[in-house]
Amino acid sequence: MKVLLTMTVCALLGLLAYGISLQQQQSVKPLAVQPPPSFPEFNLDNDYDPPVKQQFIERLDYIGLIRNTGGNPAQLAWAYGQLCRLFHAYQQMDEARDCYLNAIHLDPTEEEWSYLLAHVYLTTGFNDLAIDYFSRALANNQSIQTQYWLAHAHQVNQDHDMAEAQYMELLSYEPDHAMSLYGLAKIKQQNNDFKAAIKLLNKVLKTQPQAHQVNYLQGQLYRKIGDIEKSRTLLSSIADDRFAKVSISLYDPYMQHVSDLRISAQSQARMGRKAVAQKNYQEAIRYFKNAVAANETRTDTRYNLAMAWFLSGQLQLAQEQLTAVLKLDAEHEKAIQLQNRIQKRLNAK
Amino acid sequence: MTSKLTVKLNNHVINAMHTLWLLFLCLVLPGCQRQQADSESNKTVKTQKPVFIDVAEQVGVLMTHRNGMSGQLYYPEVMGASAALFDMDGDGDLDLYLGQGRQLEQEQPGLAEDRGRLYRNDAERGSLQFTDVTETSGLWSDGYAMGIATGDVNNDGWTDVFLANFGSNQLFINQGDGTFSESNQNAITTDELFSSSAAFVDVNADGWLDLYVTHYIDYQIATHSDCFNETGALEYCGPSSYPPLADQLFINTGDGAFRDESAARGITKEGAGLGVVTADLNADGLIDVYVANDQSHNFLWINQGDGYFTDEALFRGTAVNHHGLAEASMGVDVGDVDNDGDYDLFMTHLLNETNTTYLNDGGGYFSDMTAALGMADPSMGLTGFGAAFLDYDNDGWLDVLVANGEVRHIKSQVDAGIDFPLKQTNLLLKNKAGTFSDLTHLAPVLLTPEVSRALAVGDLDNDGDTDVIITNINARANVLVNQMGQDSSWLGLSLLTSSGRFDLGAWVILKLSDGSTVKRRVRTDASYLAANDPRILFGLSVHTQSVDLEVRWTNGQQDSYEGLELNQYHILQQQ
Repeated sequence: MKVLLTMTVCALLGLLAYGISLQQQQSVKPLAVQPPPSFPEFNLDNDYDPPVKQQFIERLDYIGLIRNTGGNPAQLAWAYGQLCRLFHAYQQMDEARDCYLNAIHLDPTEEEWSYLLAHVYLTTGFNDLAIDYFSRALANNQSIQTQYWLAHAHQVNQDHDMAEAQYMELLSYEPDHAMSLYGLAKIKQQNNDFKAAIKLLNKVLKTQPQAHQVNYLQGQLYRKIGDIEKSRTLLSSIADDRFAKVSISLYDPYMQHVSDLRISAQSQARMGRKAVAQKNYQEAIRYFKNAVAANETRTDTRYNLAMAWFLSGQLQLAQEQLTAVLKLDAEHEKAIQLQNRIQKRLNAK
Repeated sequence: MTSKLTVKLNNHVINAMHTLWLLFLCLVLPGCQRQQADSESNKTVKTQKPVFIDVAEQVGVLMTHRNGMSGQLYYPEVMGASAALFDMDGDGDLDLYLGQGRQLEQEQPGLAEDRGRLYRNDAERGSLQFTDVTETSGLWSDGYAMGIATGDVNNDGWTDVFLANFGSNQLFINQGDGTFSESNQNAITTDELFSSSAAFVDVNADGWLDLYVTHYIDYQIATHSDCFNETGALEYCGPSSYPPLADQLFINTGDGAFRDESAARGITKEGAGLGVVTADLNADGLIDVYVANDQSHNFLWINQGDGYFTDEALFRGTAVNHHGLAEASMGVDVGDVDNDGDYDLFMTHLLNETNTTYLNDGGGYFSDMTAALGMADPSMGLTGFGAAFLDYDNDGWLDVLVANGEVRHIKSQVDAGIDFPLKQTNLLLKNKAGTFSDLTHLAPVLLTPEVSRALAVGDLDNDGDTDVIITNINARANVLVNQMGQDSSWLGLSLLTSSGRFDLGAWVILKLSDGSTVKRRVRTDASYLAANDPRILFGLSVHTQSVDLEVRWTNGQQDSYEGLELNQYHILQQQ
């Protein structure tokens, strides 16, 4: 009797445990019967820039609308996806992860959510899960960028054979795919085949001569093959300025969509500073204008806009912006200095 | 870190659930029951002790750090404060100093309650106990504490203390009777900049310890400006918001004074310096200096001879990561992780970067091998500060311990109303013959989220294994006693110059009977805002025979020692 009782309790516990265990593993394998999606806990922060807050409100309202009007799971998944991208854009990775998982449960056929979730996993160090979700995205829709990221995730996971196979397949469709050539070069480097790596990087440089990481890797490889002079020349060109760096460009519409959502003053100002470092003043002005629109009370953002006007030679507009800065903060040191510089230049004319 | 923590906890839950499910299956499946019965009868019960336990409260280390936060989000509030392990009274055990913060608007020097605390180690018969002797010691800090360096600057055999502060620094000379006197008439105390870590090192091999001080950024409370996060909420600034500073190298003139010779000796580059280590990285017999800079290229100051330096970090592969990107380097340590007889580098970074390990090719050229060593993934999602190579299980391979804590608010912790919402778990990586795996769960105390910063290592209870101090912002420090290492063989060494001071920078190559060699250095530097036990501790696993070793002193002299008995500390003094 005692044994039977123990067995029964164990069986119940086991069944319970199995159920919970399956639920806990929902991030790995989708269930045949989807659990009801829970709404991610989210506290709308009053300190957000007004346009950012508005973005969140709109997306939360949209989800509410779909729910209240009895929308189907695919519609609800889509609504969630819009919110997930916003979490992702503002680097709230925990929320983004849970949100994407919800969207995927509701609509496992939409590759975008799997693709973006894989990116979240990749940036938070869960490479196995990144590989899993890039694979799912690829199964739903064959695309060059998904295949590249899958190869990259394998490489990060130290599975160089899988990565190489993926890169090679990708290059058979698109022989100049720069990131794949770079990825392959890294594998060759790891295998001590330095000359082959240099050859691959030379191909990349044909289309992307400014790419910072290519020049750095070339510099290291030339040292390894004993061409010290070439190595020093390449490495001495590596500026210690993160905004001045140029990455290998990669066509990635889904991630671009995420980045484009960043409209806060901070993120627009960052883009503006990067554009200034690359001497692209017109683009910088566009970003700084956006930043000022996102939060009109930030003196540093306005000062940056003034500086961008100044650097592009539009002194009148720079002065107007500096006047606005000094209205907000009469002792803004950098603004006063820039104003004096402009005045000197105008006087010299 | 919330993200990492959440998933890790989920994994633990999953594992537990699976165990229960398997238990159920075992109960209903006859074959499994038999197998289980067989294994029950054969197995020996082995319980795994936690690798570290926190004994801070039991042993009397009670200081609670205060960062003095006022809601203004002043930069120094996220930096944390120092920890140092050194034998202040020459009784053979490690005493402890912990730095303290204070309200940053305060114009006058700190009050007595704002002082860092000096704890004397009164361990007796294996029972660790500390006594707060701050008030009688004269080691009275009056700045907002950052880092610390320890070394015998006047060659009298007693360890002196340099406090690096946000504001003016302080030098305390050990009087040899358990007290210190502050040395005010000294170039190294006139520095009013934002200092971080510091290291005593004899750069010109003249027999006197010089001092390298890392400087962070040109930041003052009076010129503080607000920073914002991606969504527009007020946030702590990053280093790019302020101009970086050049470090300083002070040469010990031998008469109790130090002279700033930074520019003359080549230390001119600016960078947001945080961690510093000193070691002969290119094996030319001269001690070099490596500086971990926050979000800018790291420095590898190669000693050109007589203490003159050139930065060769970019060329030697240690300025940036393998993609050529500068990372937010914080803590740093140097050690031979692959037991190939040269020094490798490890440093800690922000949550969206990996911690990074550079392997030395023997000639001072390095490759970022982080991912290949298995050290990349465990550090993603965590922001590392203090870090140390330590052989926690004394198996002869250097493991890694990292103190983590974010620098930007974690939203879920803000929403939960946590006072200083930057808490993360720490990280323990075990070195298995050259590759690493995350074994943090073997020391559950490391899984308690805190805003951890400085990390200092040393053998607190002289039992032959490495214990750890971790400082936490706005909380008590952890005093982590190692419960595992003492079960293996070990050998401890104090390498002293003829004047009786630890010969910082000297190294030892230990030769084992199986032909393998292990290299370790005498140091107090490394980590972040910390000073470590200057003694060398070799883990020797199951080795039982006495060992032979070679010592390379910093003045170039080499000596061999034979037949050193295991499981004890030896003093080797240069003749």
